[in-house]
Amino acid sequence: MADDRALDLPQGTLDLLILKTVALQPQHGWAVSQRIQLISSDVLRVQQGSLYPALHRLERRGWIKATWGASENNRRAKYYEITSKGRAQLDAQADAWRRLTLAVGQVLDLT
Amino acid sequence: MLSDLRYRLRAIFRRAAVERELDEELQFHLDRYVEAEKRSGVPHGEAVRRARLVFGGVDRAKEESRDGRGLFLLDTSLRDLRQGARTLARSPGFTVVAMLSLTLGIGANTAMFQLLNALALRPLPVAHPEALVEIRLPDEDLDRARGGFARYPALTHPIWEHFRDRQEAFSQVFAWADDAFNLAPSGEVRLARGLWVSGDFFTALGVTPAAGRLLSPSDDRRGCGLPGAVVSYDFWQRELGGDPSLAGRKLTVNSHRVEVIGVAPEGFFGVKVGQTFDVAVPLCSIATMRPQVNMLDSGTTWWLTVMGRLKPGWAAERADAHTRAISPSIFSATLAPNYPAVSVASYRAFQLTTRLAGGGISTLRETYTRPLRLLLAMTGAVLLMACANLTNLMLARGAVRHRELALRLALGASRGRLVSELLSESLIIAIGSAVAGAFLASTLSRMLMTLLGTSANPIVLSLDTDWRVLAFTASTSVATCLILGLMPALRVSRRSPGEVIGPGSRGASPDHESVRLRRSLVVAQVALSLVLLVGALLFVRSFRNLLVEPLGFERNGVLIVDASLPPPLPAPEALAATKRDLMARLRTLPTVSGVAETSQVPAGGNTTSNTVWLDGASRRQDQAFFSWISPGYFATLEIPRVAGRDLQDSDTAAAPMVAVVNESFARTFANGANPVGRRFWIEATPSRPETLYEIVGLVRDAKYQQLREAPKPVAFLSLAQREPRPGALFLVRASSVEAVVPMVRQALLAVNPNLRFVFRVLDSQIRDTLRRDRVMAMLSALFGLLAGVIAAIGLHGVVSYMVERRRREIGIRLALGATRSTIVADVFRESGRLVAAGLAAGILASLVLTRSAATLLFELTPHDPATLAMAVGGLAVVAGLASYLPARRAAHVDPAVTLKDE
Repeated sequence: MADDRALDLPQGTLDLLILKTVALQPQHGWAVSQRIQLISSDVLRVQQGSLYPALHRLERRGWIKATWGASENNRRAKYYEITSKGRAQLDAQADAWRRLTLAVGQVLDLT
Repeated sequence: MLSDLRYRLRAIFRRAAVERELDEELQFHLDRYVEAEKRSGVPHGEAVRRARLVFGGVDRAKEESRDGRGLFLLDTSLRDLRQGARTLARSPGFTVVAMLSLTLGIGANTAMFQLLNALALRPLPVAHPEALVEIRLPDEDLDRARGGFARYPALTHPIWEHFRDRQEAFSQVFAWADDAFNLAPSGEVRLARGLWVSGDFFTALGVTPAAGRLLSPSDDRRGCGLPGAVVSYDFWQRELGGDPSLAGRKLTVNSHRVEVIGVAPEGFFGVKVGQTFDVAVPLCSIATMRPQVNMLDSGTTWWLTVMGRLKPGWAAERADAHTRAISPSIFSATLAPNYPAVSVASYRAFQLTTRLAGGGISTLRETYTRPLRLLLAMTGAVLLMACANLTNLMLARGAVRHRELALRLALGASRGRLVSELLSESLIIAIGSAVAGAFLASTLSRMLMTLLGTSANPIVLSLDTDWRVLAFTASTSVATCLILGLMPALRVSRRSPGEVIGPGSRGASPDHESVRLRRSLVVAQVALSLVLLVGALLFVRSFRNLLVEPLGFERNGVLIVDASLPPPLPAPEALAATKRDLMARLRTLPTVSGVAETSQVPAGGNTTSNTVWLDGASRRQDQAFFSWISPGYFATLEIPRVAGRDLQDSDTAAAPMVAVVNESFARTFANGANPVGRRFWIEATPSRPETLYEIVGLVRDAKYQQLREAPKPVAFLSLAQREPRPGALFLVRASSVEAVVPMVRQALLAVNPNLRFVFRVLDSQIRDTLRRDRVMAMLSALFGLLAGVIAAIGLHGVVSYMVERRRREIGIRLALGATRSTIVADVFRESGRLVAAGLAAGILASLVLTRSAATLLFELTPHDPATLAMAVGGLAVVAGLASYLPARRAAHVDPAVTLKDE
């Protein structure tokens, strides 16, 4: 199962990725995990088991909300979509993340 | 925040639906994964396997999702409790034993705490008790105060009046004294607990009447006569039938008719904790009820407790400075004309001080706080030991359940969940026992209160459950639960599943750490039980010492007759004639072998003392103690005479003043030489100038005030040479005290039908003074035995367990030719190590801990080596017995059977 190219997620970034993914369009859990892996060109590995606790945590905080809908193959699936509160949170966290990576990058690029 | 709450509530109350949705969601995910794998050509079975592998533990994901939903606390606890209850129901034997022992343990602890709380912690049930202070003389001043003390500490009425009129620190001040009132109109006395109160008493305490009205300042004026009495709520219910219309209701109080004007509220007992009152009358009424002593103007009769309520904004220190500042003027103004000249300077220098009294006034508190603390510590130790035994059982159960728990751990259940599930079992036990224990406690504490009081002097404490008791019971049960559950739970869940269910494991084999834990528990139990046993032996031996302590007089077969004449008093000659007549009649009664009068009963708690010096010697500050007696006193009490003569009828007021002294007196004042014929001075008192007495006789030492005293120098003076008093104490020696009582009653009434009298038995009166020691001996013996039994059970359990574990080894050794006695010796060596370690720790602990019992012991030091040796020996024997059974079982292991089993 270990893949040398795949990175484990830094602590706390899973929430950010989920928020971003469901911000694009309402998704069910499976799609969220696929989407993250796809977009990140298979570099980021989400432990699938840990996705659902994160989804439920975000739902409790009111950053995403869930509705039951029909999936592509007509099964009942739980779709998550971002709330306005979640969008604000996403903006703030994304901004913080960018500043953090920029700063870390600058330090690392010092010659 | 609101969405959070809604979410959590739905998660809790729609649990089934939420769980179903979670299942469905995860299943959907897995199915999609399988689909995707199959599309890329993986066979179905393999796809399912991969899906699960990549997903990780489904149960863990569920578990964490539940945590994510935020229902950890409430929901999982409910689930754990249900699970715990099911587990407990599966082993009813364990559950019953655990509940019973903890109910008893928590019940006993709570009972002790209830008493301690009622006696020493709880504030008075009055308005704003924190602002109440007592105004009194410091002990060193009281020691120098002269006159008669009706109670201790106390102030005189003139001091009270001057203080009341001059003080500025208190919004209200009040004074009171307790007393025994006689409610019977004539004949045998019917005693009630009486209170003399100043007019402000009830208003300052902020109590409101249950019926009628309470006494007010206008009732308490000099010359008031008998304006009325307030009765307690209990007295009202008991004696007056709770009749709300009090109109015209009258009581006989000390032969006077007094109108009942009101009823104090329910639960109000005054300000003396441990006592209650029946009837309260204003201070000024004492002038009518006791005309013979002018209590209101006497500057040498100390009988009042003075208290006050601090003005808002006044701290206790400021009030104290104020009372000290006004003291010189108060004491100058109240100096009695008859105050002994030698003591006038110290009287003028007295300083009134204040101390906070929100908890009330109590002599009982000084007597019982330390014993109760010790008893609480003992019950606490017993509970701890019982917990240790149950922990042992839990560990044993944990060993059995290892496989189940390891399996669940392997399947992804979190350790935290397992721990909380195991804890919930002990939580159920602890809470169940706490509730049952609280009920038990109220019965136990009431029993103990009855045990500590006497019928003549019952202890009345309000044992209601307040927040302190609740907090105590709750924290006890939480501590119990943690001790019980946490160790085994942590032990069980810390092990890796592989250890338990991996290949080669024998499943239920417990780890070494939990064996070590159980052994150290037993060591601790042995140590604790040794401490309790030492304590028990100390108290039992101390009580025995008190019982066999030579009194110097014969306590059996003596009836005390406490008689008095109601006012108006006859002339002194008539009074003396009445007494002579009565004693002559008593002497003629059948079986009566001796009759005497005395001013105080020996070992009865009272003292009278003054400075004494031999005539011609320099005036030193040695104190002697006094009893005024009639001729025949020594014969009646069977106190042997060493030299000289007894007092005689001829030693009257007209004759020279004479005294019989005891050997201690001779040692103290005459260097042990025969003092007969020598003369001594007694320093002036308020009622008598410096007086010279001649010693006419010498008697053996006898107890004077109480059993716990070193011999005191006592001078016995003649009653006939002292001013007559209205009351008298007669000692009647008879072969059967019970049989003589009705005849004595007849004789008393024949002499004067107006006599008031009450009977007591000398022996029971002395025994009553030992009730604290008796209760301490009984209870500590009980706890010591209990501790021994618990330690034996614990040891037996652990040794049996060791034998069980080594069954195979023992079998092999027996097969190889070891003798059975070697095996027995081996088991004994193992248990002996535990016991020895426990005893060593216990000895050290007792040396430290028993020191706090020192003041309660009589003629015994807390480090008494014999006591320690007895306790160690006793416990060693018990431990030997507890190990013998498993050792015998070990010796009877059948090698053939054991080896075939494996």
